[in-house]
Amino acid sequence: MVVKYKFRLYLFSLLVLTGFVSLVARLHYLQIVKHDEYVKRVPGERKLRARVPGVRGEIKDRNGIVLAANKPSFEVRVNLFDVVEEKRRLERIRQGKDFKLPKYVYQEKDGGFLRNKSEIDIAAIFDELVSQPLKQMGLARPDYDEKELEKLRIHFRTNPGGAVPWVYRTDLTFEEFSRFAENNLQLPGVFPEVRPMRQYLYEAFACHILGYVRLPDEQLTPKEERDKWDYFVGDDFGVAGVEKTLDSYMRGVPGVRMMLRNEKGAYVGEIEEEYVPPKKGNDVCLTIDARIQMIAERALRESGIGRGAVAVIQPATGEVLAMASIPNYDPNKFVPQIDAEDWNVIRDNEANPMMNRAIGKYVPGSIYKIAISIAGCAANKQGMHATCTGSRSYGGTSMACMGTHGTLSLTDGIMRSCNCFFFDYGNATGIETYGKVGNILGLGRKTGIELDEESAGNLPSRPWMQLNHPGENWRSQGLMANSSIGQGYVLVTPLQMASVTAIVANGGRAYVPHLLKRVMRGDLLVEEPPPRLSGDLAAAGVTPEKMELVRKGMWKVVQGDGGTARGAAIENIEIGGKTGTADVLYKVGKRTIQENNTWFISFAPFENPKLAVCTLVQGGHRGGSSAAPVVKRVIEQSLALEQGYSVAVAPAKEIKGHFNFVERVSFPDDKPLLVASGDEADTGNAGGRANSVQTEDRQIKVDESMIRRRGGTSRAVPRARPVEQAPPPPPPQRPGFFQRLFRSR
Amino acid sequence: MTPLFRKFLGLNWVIFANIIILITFGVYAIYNAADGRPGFEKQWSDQVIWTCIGLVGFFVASLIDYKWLRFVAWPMYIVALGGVILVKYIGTDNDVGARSWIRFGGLSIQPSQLMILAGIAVLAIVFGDLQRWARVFRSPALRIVLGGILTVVPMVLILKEPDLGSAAVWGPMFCGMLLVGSIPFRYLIALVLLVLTVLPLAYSFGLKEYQQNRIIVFRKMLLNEPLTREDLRGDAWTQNYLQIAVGSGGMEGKGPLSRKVLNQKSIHRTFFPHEAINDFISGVICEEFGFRGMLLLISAFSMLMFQCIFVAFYARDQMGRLLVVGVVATMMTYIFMNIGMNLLMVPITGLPLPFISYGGTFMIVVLFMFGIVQSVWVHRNISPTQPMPEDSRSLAKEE
Repeated sequence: MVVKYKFRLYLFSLLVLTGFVSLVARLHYLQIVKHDEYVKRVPGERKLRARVPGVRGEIKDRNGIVLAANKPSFEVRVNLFDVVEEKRRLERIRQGKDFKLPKYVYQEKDGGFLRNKSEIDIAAIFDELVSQPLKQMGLARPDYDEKELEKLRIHFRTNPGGAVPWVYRTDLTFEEFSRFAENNLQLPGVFPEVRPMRQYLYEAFACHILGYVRLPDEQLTPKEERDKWDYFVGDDFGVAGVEKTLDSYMRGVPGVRMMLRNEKGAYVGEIEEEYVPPKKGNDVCLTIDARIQMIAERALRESGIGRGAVAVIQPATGEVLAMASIPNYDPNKFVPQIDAEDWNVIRDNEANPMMNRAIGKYVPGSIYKIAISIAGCAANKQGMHATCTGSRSYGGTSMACMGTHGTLSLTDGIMRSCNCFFFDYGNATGIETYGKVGNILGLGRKTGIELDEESAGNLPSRPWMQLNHPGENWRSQGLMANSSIGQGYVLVTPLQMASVTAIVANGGRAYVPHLLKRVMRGDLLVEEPPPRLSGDLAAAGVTPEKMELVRKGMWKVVQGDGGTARGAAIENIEIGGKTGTADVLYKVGKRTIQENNTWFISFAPFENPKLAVCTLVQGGHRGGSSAAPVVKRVIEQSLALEQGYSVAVAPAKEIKGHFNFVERVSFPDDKPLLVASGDEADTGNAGGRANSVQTEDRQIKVDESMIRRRGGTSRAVPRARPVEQAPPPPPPQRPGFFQRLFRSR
Repeated sequence: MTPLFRKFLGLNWVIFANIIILITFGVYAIYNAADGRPGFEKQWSDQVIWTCIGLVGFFVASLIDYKWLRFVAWPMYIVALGGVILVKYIGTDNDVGARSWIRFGGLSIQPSQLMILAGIAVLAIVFGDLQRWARVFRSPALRIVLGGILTVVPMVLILKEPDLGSAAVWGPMFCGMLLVGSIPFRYLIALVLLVLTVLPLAYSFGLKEYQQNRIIVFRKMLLNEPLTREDLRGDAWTQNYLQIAVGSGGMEGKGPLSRKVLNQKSIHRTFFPHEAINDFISGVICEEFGFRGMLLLISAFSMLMFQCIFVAFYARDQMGRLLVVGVVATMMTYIFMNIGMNLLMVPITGLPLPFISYGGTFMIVVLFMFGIVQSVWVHRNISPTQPMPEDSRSLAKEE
């Protein structure tokens, strides 16, 4: 067989040649034709736009005393995405193309079933690439335990994009921080950072007004905003108090920091020239007078009261001069994140220190008679007289008075706090006028103060009854009688009552109680909202002459012979006031306790009033003995400020609160009250109807035997149950927040 | 002058020079590619040692007449096949997870590379020599079937290791042998058609999804289509950086040791895995020496290949010719697959570049193969132009 090998070999050569030619052609295409394109694609140093959070404006009082400022906090943040990318790169080099990252299996509820899910073991990667190098530098967190790693995993799971950095630690000292900044160049994704951190200079002082901020929650930031940055660090934002409501004024303008990242993704430096410093937000001046606030808080603290509140309003403008509530808390504990132990202490405290009692709703008792008096004036019943016989009967139910007062006029009715008088007076006024005037007074609705935690309270007017208790007869005289003495469905906040007092004091102009005095940018005035009238009683028929009767009544309460709060009288200063006591049941944890809400409202001086004060003391004995001394002290000292009395505004420690019975309030540096409260005609547990033991928010079954009776008036069941306002919302919504909240430092 | 010395002087010194030039450049390339990688400082000098060992094999193979392969080839094939089977049980996993190495003390042997050597020899016998022993083997069909079996068995075994690259070499080698091995064209055409028919089926049913995905990505890159983020992070990660490395090299490249780039931050130094000194060496050469450097390298390879084909023309008999063709086809496959993979013309399989890539056994095997080519040259006919009598054994005996 002849082999025709030559042709075959030529063919073979041709194939080999084709191979080489195609190689050269492809090489030419890549290296010559497409050269420029690939040069552009060479990964090099990349600029990263990092958002520098704006500096939050300060909070000051009306005189410029700084209440909330910022201090630098040295933090370490880790961009987990970068860390994982670095790990990917390392593993690719180590293992080749088919590299595997360590996996972590966790359980998650999916459609009601616990399922195993697998994800990248971020904890292991983090430990290898971040913790270990930091440990070598001596900068690692000492307490990085399993719990902390679990939080890290959750953060990683919930932030897949990586734009939101993981806060590794926030407690570096300046020395550590500078060491860090020098050394971290080798760690991709790890950034040292100086951040302004909120600081409440006077600790628990005015905490319920100020509120607190929390670390930025990027979930709340729109995605478009986040996508503008390579490295997003949000602003702290307020979650309670004026930090929340005035947040937009105080937010700073973010700065820009240009960072350089090398081709491996490691942070190599910063472009100093392109740094845009963040701007500070506006400062906010509150209407609060820190001295009066201090006086009020000290009065509450020194009185030994377990739970209570004081609200002080300037009658001429509606500006809130002070608003104190105990027990309280130190908002610094919430910045940047609250410790688990601290949180447990706050959460487990049944006295609920997070709650601002000055804007919580409570059964008012007799102080409500002032509001009824004004309503009666609007209905032109100010000249009415009524005879007190010790009790009144409505539909077979007897409702008692604390004494037998005989025939009384309006002023004497107020002075003696006669229930019978107000039963008749209220019914003469009628539920329609009551509802109208109550609305002007700001009862049963939010007053509009710059605090989101505010309660509306209840105003059992006709529409309210029809809406909330459609089955009940709103025309019933018993209902109106009950409302007239601040029982039944009535609930008010101390702030509302302070506002009512201010309206009485200024002759009938209803101002919206507010906290924002002015907004400043440095020395520049940005905004100064004028006082806002929410209604004018003169237009509703309450002329100043009629109002004078109410004022006179309040004058008599303190200065009059037979007034219920003669102990509150201050030398040289005439004041108006009104006591109140309401016997209430309320639920603490699992037990129901019965106690008195004792109240005192007051304005001073009687002519040209400068202060309108409302005090609530929970667990007191009588308004005159438990609440009035507190108000007296507040007024005394506040008015003395103008005469040169000085109050040092100093950091205040937390008050834990208690549930002890406060029979009599006295101050160690004060002479004891001489006027006994025994002869007071003030009563809390005035009559209600036996057919109903309902509460509006919570169902608490009230058994007759549960109710402790006082003074032999054992027929009536208190109608209303004060329902503690829900605490301001610190621990909300997003899963994972608790883990972050409980981060131990 | 002893006959042995005459043989020595009669070696094809052009091929030898070509090989030495390539190896020298290869050592330099390894030195470049290993620079800046901790743990790779000694690889270039290791390569020199391997070359020296390989050259011994080269000269031994050159000076012994290749006719002895007739007797050695079969045992060699069986031993190598045994090695390939054995590797499944006593082999060591390499870092990618494939079992292709057997360790003897400090020595690692890759049976698949010995296998290809034995395969070339056996196929050369089947296509070039067997018909002279038995008339039966004059039937092309029988020879194709026998050769096919001898090819497919080791190929499948190697494929199972899994070592896709080494298995892929068998195809072109077999085809080259068929082409030159006096198989009539009708058989070849039928075979090509058969393969074309089976290919889509093999793609759909033979390949797993991730393997298919790699082919899709490969097609995208070949056609310069945009890649997705997932591709870039997964299947196309290496390819993407290879492409950038090669493309950014340009005409002149980034210089030896990437000296022309700031801080020597070339792509291969930053992103290439440790295969930079073997599988991805041509990518490194493209980046550092540019178009002109790579063109020189390809020219050197093509010169070597055509020198070998020239030898094939002079071969004494069909078996010698097929031996050379087998070696050339194998080498060509390695060269094309390696450079092509670095230029993203073929899927990434992990084949080394002969004489350039770092690798001990491979260097020895390759040098031995070229030794066989030399042997074919040394024991050639005097005149290639004179037609040979069919039975050339008598002529060979003259020597």
